[in-house]
Amino acid sequence: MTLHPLKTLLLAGAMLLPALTAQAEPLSAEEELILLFEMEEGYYQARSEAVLDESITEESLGELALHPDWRVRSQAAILLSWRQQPELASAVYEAQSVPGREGRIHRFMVDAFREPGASPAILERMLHAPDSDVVKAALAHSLVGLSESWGEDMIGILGAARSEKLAVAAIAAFRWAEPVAGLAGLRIALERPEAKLRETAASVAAWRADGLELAAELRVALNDSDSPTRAMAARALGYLHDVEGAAALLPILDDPSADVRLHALRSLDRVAPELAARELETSRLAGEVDERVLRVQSRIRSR
Amino acid sequence: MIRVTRLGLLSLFVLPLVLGCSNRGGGNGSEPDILIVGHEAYGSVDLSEEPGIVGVPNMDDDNENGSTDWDEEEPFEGDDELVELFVTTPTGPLTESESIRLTIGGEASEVRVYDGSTIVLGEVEGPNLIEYTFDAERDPELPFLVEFRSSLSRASVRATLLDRDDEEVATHRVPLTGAPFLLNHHLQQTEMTWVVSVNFGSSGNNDQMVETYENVLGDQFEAVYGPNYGSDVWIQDEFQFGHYTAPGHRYDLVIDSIRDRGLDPWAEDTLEGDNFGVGVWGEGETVMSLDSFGNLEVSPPVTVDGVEYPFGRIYYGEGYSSGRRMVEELRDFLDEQVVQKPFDVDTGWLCVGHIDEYTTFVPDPTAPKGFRFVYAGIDEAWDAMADLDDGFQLGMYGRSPPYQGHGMPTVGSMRNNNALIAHNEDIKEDVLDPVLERFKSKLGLTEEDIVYMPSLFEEVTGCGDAALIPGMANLIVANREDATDIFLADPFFRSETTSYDGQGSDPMIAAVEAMMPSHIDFHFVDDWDVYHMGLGEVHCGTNMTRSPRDNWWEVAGHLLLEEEE
Repeated sequence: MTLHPLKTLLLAGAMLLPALTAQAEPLSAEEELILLFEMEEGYYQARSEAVLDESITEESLGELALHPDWRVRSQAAILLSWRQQPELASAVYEAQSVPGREGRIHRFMVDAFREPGASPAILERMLHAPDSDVVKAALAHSLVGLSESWGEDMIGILGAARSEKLAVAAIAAFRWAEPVAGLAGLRIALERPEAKLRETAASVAAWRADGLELAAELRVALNDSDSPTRAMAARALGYLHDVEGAAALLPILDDPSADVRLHALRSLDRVAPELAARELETSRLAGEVDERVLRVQSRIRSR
Repeated sequence: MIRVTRLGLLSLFVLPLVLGCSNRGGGNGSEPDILIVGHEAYGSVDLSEEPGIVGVPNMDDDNENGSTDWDEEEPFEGDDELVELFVTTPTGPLTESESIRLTIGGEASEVRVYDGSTIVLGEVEGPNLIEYTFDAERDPELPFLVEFRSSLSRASVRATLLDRDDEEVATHRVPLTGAPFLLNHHLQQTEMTWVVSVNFGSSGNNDQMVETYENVLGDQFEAVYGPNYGSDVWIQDEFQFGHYTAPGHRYDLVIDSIRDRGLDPWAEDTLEGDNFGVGVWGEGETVMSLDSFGNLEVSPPVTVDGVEYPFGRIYYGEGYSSGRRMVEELRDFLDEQVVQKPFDVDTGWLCVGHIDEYTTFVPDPTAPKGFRFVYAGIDEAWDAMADLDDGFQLGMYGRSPPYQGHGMPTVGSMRNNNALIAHNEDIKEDVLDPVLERFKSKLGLTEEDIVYMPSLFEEVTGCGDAALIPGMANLIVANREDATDIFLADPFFRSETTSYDGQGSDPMIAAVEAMMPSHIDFHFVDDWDVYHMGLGEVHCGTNMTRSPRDNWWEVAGHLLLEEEE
């Protein structure tokens, strides 16, 4: 039996009518901010509308700027920035970066970038503007020291970064962050699936005065599948003087990578010089061909 | 009897002319029958020895018609790169039965010899002209003109005196050599100096540095207005000055780097013109940091394993393990310049990767070789701060990293930084010590020639190393008749944050002045914001033309023979 076409249409309409007329649950203010924060296409239009939307009060934005979710508080701060300091935000948006002597490293040498209130606008530009990765890295580094929460912001940037160069810039900045954010950020980076990020984290860890707090993670990184990461982890343990981790360096003294062998031997010599000297007498370290490693071996033997 | 005598005299002079006999074969025994000579500046130099007759490559555009003069294929009024060559017969003028044949050898396509406005030897469209014969009808007072295509064009011309039967009576061969391109070193006199003047508001400016140059060098200094060139301050990196010389000739050439940043048009805007050209080697698509000319330097004159290099040796940085290299076309061009035979050293460990970041030369008349080799000294840096308390304030270093300072507000924060100590130990062991041995080997240096500039390096994450203490080895030497001035970075090893204050009590400045030649006037300039925090220093931000020294054709010909071997 087939229904008359008109009857089919009427039946379908009757079934759909409740769904069509039911009202969608309104988004919370936090959800709207996250939606805006994560928007790619159409972001600037939506942001401008939000800035002009009087239903979003400055008081509410001020509260949301303290929200535990980084995306919420960042977006709230951005909207506040455009409302309260539009000239500063514009100056940040329009500024040209200056290449350093190494052309792939840029700086912003503009007065606006030294204003603490510039942080939200810098963050917005870094996440949404169609700048090159080199410029985005410069924007990230412009945040260092600009606000009290810059370290936490850098963790958020690491999570939100869509390019490796920006992620590397964020990890590099952890070198100067206060302990909680700095160590947390490096721990997160040491767990990332991208080898370059793990390598960078291991290299940065070496430079933190409290880097020994990461000793456990760095010892694990000695077995990383990526040789540059292993090398930087080995280096870090030497720079940080991880005496308790000396034994962890032994297995990589004959690593296939010369860089790993170099840093492992050197670090072992730094934390346990007698052990290093004994290991040099073992047959597995004979036959070294890398000039740098041979120089270190020669130095240790000549002591 | 008289009639017989007159007949006898006549027979002595006229009969030989009629019969084609001559006084050749030695004449009075001390003069050659044929001799090629050049400009009077050669004096008594034997032109049959290398390099022979020399000339500046005709690569400019003297008639400003948009075409390189070499491409004109005809001499014109004002084309001042052509050199004179005379073929003489000292034992007497050519007789009617004699002739002279000129033949060209070597790189015939690299030279032209003109008789008047006609090419008679060398490069033409089609097969090169190899041989040219002329007789007594040609005025011997008229010179031939020789034109060279390029640097170190190597050819020769042989003049053969022929008798009536075209048999060789005598011959003389002279090499023809295009001038080498000579880069400048720090012992040469300064002609002109440039710095790009910039002001980034509260982010910094180089006013004090520019002011210092103006006060010291006067009209031998010119500030380039930065905003006209994208505020690109790295003027050392964009241009390398050099020159070609020959007796009575000088042609200046600036190598324009393929770096192609804001300063790229400056040489064409400011310098290009009569006897000053701009040359580019390589393509911009392949550009790397090592293509900048802070990475291309020249030593003073040295002797290496018994071989004299009167104009020094070119040296430049190679990335070695980093894989970065100077562009191949420029490396090849430099390798051809045997008079300043180049060698490379490892700069791959540096973020920027330029040889001027840790090495240079300064004049020192009291030194055995007349100069000192300035080399980065890690131990000397620690020594310079040894007597300071941990709490000694370092105003600049304590500023916020990574763009304003280093986050090290005191000597203690530097001296007790285990990573910094270890890292610099590694740099010394892996790089500085082995590279120093290479310099000693390539330049014939000994420890007596070396002064160690207090230097510490810090890692730029993901890039390489850069100066922590402003790189004072990255200096510029200005030699004038009565003075030698050196401009270098203010190390700011004190609490004060301007170069107008505190230099007199700066321990790092004191250490440098104590170890360096006493005749030099040092000017420690504020390069912190504009240069140091941008990973460069004073030398990177300065460029200079210098006066050529010596006549390469008199003192460097043996190096052309070395190349042939």
